[in-house]
Amino acid sequence: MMRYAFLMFSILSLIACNQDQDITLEIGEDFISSETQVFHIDTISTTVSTFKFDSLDVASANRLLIGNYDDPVFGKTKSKSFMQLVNFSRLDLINNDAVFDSIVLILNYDHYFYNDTIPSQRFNVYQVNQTIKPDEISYYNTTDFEVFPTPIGSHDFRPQPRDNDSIRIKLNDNFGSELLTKIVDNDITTTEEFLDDYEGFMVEGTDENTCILGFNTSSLLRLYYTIPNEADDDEFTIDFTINTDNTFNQTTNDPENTYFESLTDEEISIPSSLTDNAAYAQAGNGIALKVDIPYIERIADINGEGLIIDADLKITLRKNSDSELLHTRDSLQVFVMNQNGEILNPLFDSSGTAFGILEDNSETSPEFGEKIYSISVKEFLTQKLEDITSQDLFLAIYPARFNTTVDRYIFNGELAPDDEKIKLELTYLIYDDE
Amino acid sequence: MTMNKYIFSLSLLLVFAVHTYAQNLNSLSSSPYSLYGLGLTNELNTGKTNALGHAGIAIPSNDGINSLNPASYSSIPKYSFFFDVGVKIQKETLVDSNGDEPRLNANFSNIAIAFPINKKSGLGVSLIPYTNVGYTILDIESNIEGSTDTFTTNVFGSGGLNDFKVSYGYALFPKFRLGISGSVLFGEIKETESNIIGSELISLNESNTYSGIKLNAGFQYDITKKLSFGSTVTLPTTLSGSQNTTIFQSDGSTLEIEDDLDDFKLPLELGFGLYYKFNEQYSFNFDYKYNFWETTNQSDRVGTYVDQEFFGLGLEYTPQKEGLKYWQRIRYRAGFNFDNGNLSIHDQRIKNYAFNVGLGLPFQRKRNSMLNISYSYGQQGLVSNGLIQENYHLLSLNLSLEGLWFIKPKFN
Repeated sequence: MMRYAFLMFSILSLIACNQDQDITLEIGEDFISSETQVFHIDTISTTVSTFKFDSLDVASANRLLIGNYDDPVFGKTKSKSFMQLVNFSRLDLINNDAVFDSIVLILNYDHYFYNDTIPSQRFNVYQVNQTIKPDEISYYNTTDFEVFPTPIGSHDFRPQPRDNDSIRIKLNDNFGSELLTKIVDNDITTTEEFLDDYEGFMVEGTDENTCILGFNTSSLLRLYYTIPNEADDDEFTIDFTINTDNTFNQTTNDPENTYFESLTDEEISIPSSLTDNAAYAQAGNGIALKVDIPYIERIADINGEGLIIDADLKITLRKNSDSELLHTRDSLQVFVMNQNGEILNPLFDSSGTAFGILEDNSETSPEFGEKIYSISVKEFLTQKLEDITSQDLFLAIYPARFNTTVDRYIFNGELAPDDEKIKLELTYLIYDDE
Repeated sequence: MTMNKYIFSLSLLLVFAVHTYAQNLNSLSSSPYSLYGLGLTNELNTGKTNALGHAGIAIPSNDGINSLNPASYSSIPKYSFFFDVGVKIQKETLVDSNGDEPRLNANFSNIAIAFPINKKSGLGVSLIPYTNVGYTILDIESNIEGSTDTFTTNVFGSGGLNDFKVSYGYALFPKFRLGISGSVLFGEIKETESNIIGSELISLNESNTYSGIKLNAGFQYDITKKLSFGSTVTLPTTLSGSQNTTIFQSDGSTLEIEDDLDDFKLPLELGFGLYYKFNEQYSFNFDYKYNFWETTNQSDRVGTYVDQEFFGLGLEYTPQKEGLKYWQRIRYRAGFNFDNGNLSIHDQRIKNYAFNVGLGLPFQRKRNSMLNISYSYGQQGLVSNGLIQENYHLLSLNLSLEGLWFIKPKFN
């Protein structure tokens, strides 16, 4: 009897261990007077202004940016490339009978361009009159070197950056034959000796409103020569390639008659209310957005203890401000900045560095085609709320590839119409309403 | 059965009991009413009283542990050692104005030992759930204020308080027994709330820990050979609590908040019982209890605490205690209990009543070891004013064993 009882008891104990409930469980709902409340808030004050970095670090360029464009809003933007050329081959082995043929600067398109490519444009090549070396510690978009006044080559062309591989700028024969003579005479046998005589080159476009073109750093200077009495009358070449360490783009903007005239120092910013209810950003010459969320602590006015569970800053491109030629990209860079305009660190969210991401609204409002960028600012706001010393922090927003393009953006400010203006969208959860 | 076998069996049972207990901490109850206060008060006890209307204030502990009155422990027979372990399985149907849902829960219901100290006194130690919490409520839709969207909440409650009790009974006179007991009440009540807000999942895990001490005293008096009277008093006490809430967000961030909880007050409780043995075959018992909840001045989120009355009565029939046929030795029991609830919601009391029947299946002819089975059918609450009615089937099993100490078997 005892055995059976134990058996029964054991079985029941085991049954008791294996209960699983897989059914609807909704009865009792009315008894839950949950204290949890969730709020969607988009009325938190957010302001945006425009500022301009004194300079951008453009060291180790991976692109040559050359050309000009005029813009009704941004004014004249000009970019030119300073480059140092080198050759590490055995120049002393060049045949003494070498006869100069021609010398060409070959610029290989990297297919980046900005503004209209239809007008014909002219590039001039100059020899630099100074050693190209860093301005203190680096190269900046404002760094400048003297050049000899007369160009050693000019080239008029209609750019076809999408269809062609390169442009070839023929340089003066005098310049080329002199170089070959120095090599053949063994005056130049090493890169050092070459750099003593040829410190660098600068390529720029003339001032007409054309476009700015991007070229690879695989671009090179090529000297063609022949050797008489050789069987096939072969043509030989000597290539001078780009030393990217000492090559950079000087990209500048003439702010005359633009909103940016007063931006003479990076601590200065102009509110969007003074600039057509818009804020502006331009890669290459350092125009960027400064976003302030000054009163986030007022969220505590909602009764109870709460926390931000989601926060997105939405920033919309001004309608028709971009085009195929004046194109924009799908992401924006976002940094945390202090009162003095110093960039402290990239914006982070839980998954790492946070970017402004272009929302895909092709399904929700394809007819409007609004371009809205969304930036996850939850961590930033939480930091602002929790740390008193973080209250004076701002967000700096600027185009992706800020140092290697000249893309420009016009965003709606806080006074733009409601569905287009810059807006902070918060989801706030109250977990204890006492 | 020798002592060794007993020890083996007991340890086996203990393993089962602990196993069951550990496995089921999360489903100690399945009643939405356990949302309130510290949960639903456990009514199950040791031994046979589960089938006797949960009543037994006047019943002695001469054939098993009766933990309803500490005075009974003085009547444990000399040389006896009682051990009692129980499990329960409850199947409920919850009914509200929208429909009904089944729920099932099962768990350990008690473990207890008791033994005599000398001719006049006895001691008992028991671990019995004091309250049970277990509720699961899914898909609560709430509005996100400031938008037309909603968020969904799932709420899970589990846990409960335990009563670890030491009881001492002393027979002042052969017919008059006194007893006191001291309890340590302790336990954790957990509530997990998962909020699904858009693509975010925010989980609030609340752990409420309570502890306190409870004192109880009682007496039993045999008025005649057939009729006994008993009474118990439980002193009011205060449980202190602390709350630890952890908020988990789907991005991996957590927030931990420590809070003191308001003290939870337990009221003065008075109980009276009668036990009448008609003859060797029939016995009758009746209890009445009054719990002074109103004096604790407490209210819950939706309900208020009100004084609670309890009635329980039971009847036991034993054809022939030491009969030759097995069925003659079986105890047949029936009972009824009613209480008007300590909680009032929208001025409606959450009443509870149950019918119970049970069997005591003895293992041996001359020993009190028994498997006590009880089945109850009951109802709690009602379907009106947004309340819930719970119809429940409760099966409880108690293995009540008696070992004999200090008696050497004649043949080994």
